[in-house]
Amino acid sequence: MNVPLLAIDAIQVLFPTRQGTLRAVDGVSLELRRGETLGLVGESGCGKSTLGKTIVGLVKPTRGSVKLDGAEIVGASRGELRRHRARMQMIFQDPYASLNPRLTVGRIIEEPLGVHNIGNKRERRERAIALAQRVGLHPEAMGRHPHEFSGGQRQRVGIARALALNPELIICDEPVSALDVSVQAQVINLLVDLQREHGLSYLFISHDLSVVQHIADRVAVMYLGKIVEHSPRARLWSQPLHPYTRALIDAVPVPDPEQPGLRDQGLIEGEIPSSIDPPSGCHFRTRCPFAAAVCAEREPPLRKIAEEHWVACHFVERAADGQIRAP
Amino acid sequence: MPPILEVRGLKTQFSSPKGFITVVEDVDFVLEAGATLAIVGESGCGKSVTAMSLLRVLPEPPARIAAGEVLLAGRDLLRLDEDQMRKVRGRDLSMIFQEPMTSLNPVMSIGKQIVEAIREHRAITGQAALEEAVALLERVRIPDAKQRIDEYPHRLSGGMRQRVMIAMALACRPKFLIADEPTTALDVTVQAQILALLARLQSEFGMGMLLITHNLGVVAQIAQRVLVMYAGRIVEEAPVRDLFREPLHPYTEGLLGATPRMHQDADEGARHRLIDIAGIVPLPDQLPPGCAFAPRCPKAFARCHVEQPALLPTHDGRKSACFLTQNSAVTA
Repeated sequence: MNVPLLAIDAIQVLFPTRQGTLRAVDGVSLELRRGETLGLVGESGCGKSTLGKTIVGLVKPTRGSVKLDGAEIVGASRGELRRHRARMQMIFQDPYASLNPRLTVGRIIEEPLGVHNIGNKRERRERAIALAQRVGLHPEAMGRHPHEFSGGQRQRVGIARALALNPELIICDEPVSALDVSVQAQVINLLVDLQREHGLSYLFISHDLSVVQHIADRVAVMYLGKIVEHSPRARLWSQPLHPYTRALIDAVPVPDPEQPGLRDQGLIEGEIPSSIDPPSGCHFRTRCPFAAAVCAEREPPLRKIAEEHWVACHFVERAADGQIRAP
Repeated sequence: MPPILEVRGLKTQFSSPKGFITVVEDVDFVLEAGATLAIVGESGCGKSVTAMSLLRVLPEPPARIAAGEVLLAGRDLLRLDEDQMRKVRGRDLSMIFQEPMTSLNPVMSIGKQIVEAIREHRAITGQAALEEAVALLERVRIPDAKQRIDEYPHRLSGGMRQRVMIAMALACRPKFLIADEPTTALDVTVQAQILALLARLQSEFGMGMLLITHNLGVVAQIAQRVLVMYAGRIVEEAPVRDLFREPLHPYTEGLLGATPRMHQDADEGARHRLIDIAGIVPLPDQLPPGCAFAPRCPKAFARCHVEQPALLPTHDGRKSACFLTQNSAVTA
């Protein structure tokens, strides 16, 4: 029973380009337990979406292993992959791009059942109607096409389809990023409710730290292809130890005018470098206010600092002792 | 008297096969020098169309400004011809957008573009303008400004492009800056840099700023006053602290409740449930009768479905377009 639902080990995804090798994911290891939500947060180009696609088998990793309930997915045969996919689904930022525009919503939700030969036609139909109802779609919606719906409604269709096969794990890739805040809240609440009802596990990928902090039990922070910090969400907020995590928290505009505002000082400088030929040693060192010579020479390993808290920084002990603080 | 930009009864429409559709209606507000006013709302609420109407940068047709006044030092911008309006843009009012590439020329170096912006309004030599351009790039904190001035926009990162656009917008020291979702396309660490930069430049230049955004966090951090828009109308106006402390309009209340708050979630043991507003924003050509928010409003009653509530003062310089807040307020 100690086997985690999902275990990613030393995943590396390299893409050859004309300018050189793009190191999209550069040695990531993570575990996801049953019934929990692991948040994966980072800015554009950090590799979080590529990692999500690698887990469901849409991207083939250069190196590393992905195990679903102990079974290896990397290099699995087509038949095996198909069985794995029934247990593991993905929802995307733009459901429009992932829903067949020619099919009705009813057919879209039903389709995975047909692919996996589950039930007869009538049973599939009934299941699709029940799913649509559960995610808050009107029964009338079944006969319509994706373009007739708003972004939030389409995301509900994507969620209903993902649920069709009773998966254990859903990889959610920026599922609410394109939605307005009132609709975003509807979809987040729906995901939270479905998790409780079905014991689902989520890998929740987002650039929005506020959303991740709301929904996740544990949070992993990614920067240029690597995990820099990984901890339970409350601890990430109260004791962020990696300078990049602190910078991310400081940069989020707090929806409360009574809180101290964004200061001109203390914000990290510059922008994320390219994943082609990233900085030597610690990838964050070019923007880090605490960078020293060692940071360019050696890559800091992800080390366990406390129970369930891992940090990849040469100076993490000093940060933990409060000896170095954000300027 | 510091300059003031005053908008009265603005109504903007778009033509469609079904006739004119009103997308902005009855919009009134005052923008003061040196102050930041935010317009917040979800997509389709009319916030961007309002901003573009002030500068008259909407394509006409299909757009038309059907009613209203935009008064700058007593002069109605809506009555100016295109030549006069061009003189106003850049010198009195400037605008920056979400995607800088839409307003930067891809085949001209950034230096040339800033020089052009400067010389559009002022009779100075090319050399002097070039020196000013370098100084502007330094003020928006572009490193190695002297070397970067010959770069083309596509060679710059999103954050750097936004800095260039800000430099161009400020080239003639406008009295008012309209910033339409200026940081929405940027990563959060870069967004923080740009917001801090805008706040600093604003106080240095003594500019008024109209900030258009969907992000309540951004509003809380840099605005002094806030207008909340829904379905083409202002539903609430308030000083920023009052709005967040005690929202008057049920829509504002819903928006605030729907926003995830990192600091709250972390402190509480169990996560709180977000308040979701049922349903979706109505399309401008399918507005319900009465208050446009009524079908989604948990507090709506019979009158809301038949009568449009006007935006009326409540107390402490606040306004709300809701019968509930108006009943409890002092009647004017």
